[in-house]
Amino acid sequence: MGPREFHTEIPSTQERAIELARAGASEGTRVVAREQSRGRGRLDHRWTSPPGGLYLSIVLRVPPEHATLLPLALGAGLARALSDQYAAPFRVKWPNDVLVALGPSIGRKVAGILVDRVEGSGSGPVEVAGIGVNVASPPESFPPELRDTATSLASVARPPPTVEDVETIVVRAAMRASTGLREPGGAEATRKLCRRWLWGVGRPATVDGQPEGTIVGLGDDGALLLDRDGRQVAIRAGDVRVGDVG
Amino acid sequence: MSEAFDRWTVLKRKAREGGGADRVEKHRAAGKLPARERLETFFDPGTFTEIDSFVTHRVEKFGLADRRPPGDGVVTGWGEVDGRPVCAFAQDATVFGGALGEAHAMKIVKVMETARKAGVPIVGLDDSGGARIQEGVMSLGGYGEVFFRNVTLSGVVPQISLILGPCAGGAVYSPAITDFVIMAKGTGQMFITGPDVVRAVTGEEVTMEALGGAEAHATLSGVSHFTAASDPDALQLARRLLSYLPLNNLEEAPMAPAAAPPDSAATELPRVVPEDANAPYDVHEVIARVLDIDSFLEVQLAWAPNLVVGFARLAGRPVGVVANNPAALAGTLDINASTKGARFVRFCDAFNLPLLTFVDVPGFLPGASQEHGGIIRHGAKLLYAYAEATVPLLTVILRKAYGGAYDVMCSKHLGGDLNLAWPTAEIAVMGADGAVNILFRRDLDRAPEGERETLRARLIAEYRTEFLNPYLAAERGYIDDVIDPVETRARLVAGLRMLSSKRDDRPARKHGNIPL
Repeated sequence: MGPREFHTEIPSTQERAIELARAGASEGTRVVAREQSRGRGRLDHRWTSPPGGLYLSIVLRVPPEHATLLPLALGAGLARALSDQYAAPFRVKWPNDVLVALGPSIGRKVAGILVDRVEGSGSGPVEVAGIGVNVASPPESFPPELRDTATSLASVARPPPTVEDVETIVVRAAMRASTGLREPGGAEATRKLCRRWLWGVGRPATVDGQPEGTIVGLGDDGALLLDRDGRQVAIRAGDVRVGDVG
Repeated sequence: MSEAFDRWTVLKRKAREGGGADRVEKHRAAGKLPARERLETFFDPGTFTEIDSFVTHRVEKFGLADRRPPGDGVVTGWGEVDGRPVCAFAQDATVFGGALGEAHAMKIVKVMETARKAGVPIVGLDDSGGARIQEGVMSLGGYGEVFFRNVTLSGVVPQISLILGPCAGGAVYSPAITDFVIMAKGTGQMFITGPDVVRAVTGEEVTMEALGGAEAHATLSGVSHFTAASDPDALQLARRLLSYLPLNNLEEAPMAPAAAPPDSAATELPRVVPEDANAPYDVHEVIARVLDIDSFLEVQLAWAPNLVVGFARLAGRPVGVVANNPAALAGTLDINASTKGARFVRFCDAFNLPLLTFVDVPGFLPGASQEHGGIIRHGAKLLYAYAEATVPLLTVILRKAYGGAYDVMCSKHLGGDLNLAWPTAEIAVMGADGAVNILFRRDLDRAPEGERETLRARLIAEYRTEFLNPYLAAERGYIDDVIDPVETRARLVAGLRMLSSKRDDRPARKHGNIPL
């Protein structure tokens, strides 16, 4: 396990971890912060990082051929680990969010995941996974557009989880996802895990605002498979919305 | 003649107007449908019949003498859902904020009494600021009369509450007694004391939504059984829920055409459940492959997910499903799972719905918080509920059934009618590691340091072979058969058919004393 670098506040744990990775940081090296001023989400969206959250970026090493599975594997692994610890139904929303399900089409996001590939020094590319978990930020601390779709672990689990507990769970889940992908047969086991924890199967979904079909599962490369009038469509990018969760 | 008709027209129009156009507009702007529209959406088109639209309050004080809106802030009546009769009331938040006074309460009581006598479900649409302060103690009396009917009707006709606005203070106890609570997110709120009182008494800062919104009651309190995205979604959910239920406790639930899952579903079953007893999987995958296609309606999905409960159909017949879920808290039974399961089992028993139980349970959740929270009392509820149930009880042990939890999960000993097990079942007093440490403690202590772990591994392997299987239980008839997982649905369908005329009585008594 690599070293842990802690900051009360930092512009972005991801940027700092990428620096460390470029300088040759080993797997498991992680940067943890309590607040970020320039947190980044997928598609370069801003990642709101109010106090009360866990913001963590970790260096992982996975076989390049399975790298596309990593974001989903991290999400599914985290959903599984949280479900194992707290009595609430956590699921992974394709491609990179963890949510708590309130109904078949109603969910609230509690975590987001972002993976960047970085050329390390000498030993080939490594992945830097940024994971933000809303542990206890009150809903008022979110921008208004997120208040209806996001929640915190403390709002749905008792006893209220602490940032420290959640960090342990996140790091363990991330390392497990990475080692899982390296093991023989690991990619298949990872796909199975992701399919098992995928949110919204059997529900209609929109992609970038357009109705695209009913979610049927995941492709081998981690693509989201939808059924559109009996024809299977693979989604590899875009904003997917299921029910009230965008 | 025309004067009589004019008067009638005016009164009817006034009743329909509710609190007036402005208030109705505000109500809509908050994302809510007006009370009558809610009922018209809920019932089959054109079937809603309103009663008591001329009822008014009799209060003279506080300026109410000249404010007597016909209907008094609640719309009551009946109609049909999928062609079956159902009674309902809808509080109208545009009239006195939906606040409950004497006349308002007596309208609800009257329609509840109609539901009792007619033997049809009663559905309440709650959207009320609480007691009508101007009516003082008469409001409290009104609530009490409603609660009394809720209790009288409990187990006689299904009672469903939709929380589509505020429901605060004593008002919460009516939905609490009903069988199911559906909360609309964003608008539905339930609490005994609001944020201001909480702040004044305990110093806690909490928003109304965080204290009593749909999310909090779906995940933390378990008060809500279903979360709906909107008014129409909540009304649709209530209709779907009713499709599984009989009209009353003396009737059978309505049949639907059988809808077997594809053959591939059955052949996939053995792969869905990992043989490694510690590997998690989601029991929904088993439910989906055994019950009729898309027939599962999960109850309390977000609360105590370690025990999944809900309605489904097996060859067209509605059943209640209870299943341990290894995907959450390793599938252990804890306080919340026990009370969730117990209430669901009792509902099904009261309304003639056979129970189908899927077992994969490592035991009760250990911990001081569970012990001190009263897991002994609460775990006993689930056991009690199963043991008193006289509906057909069918159980399938998929994998682990350890310790007392084996007994609790609808075992033969509690009255299971058909108890099946898969070959992967492990019916034992505990898992191998724990058992070996206790049974062979001395041998392990005496073993030389270097050989201890080898010995332990050998003993665990032996214990697994000898005890962690379904055959010791089957030899004693605790399990009726060990079956190929592929046959699960077929065996349950046949079992349910055989048990469809089951009759079983318990000694006459006023009522048992379930450990509440």
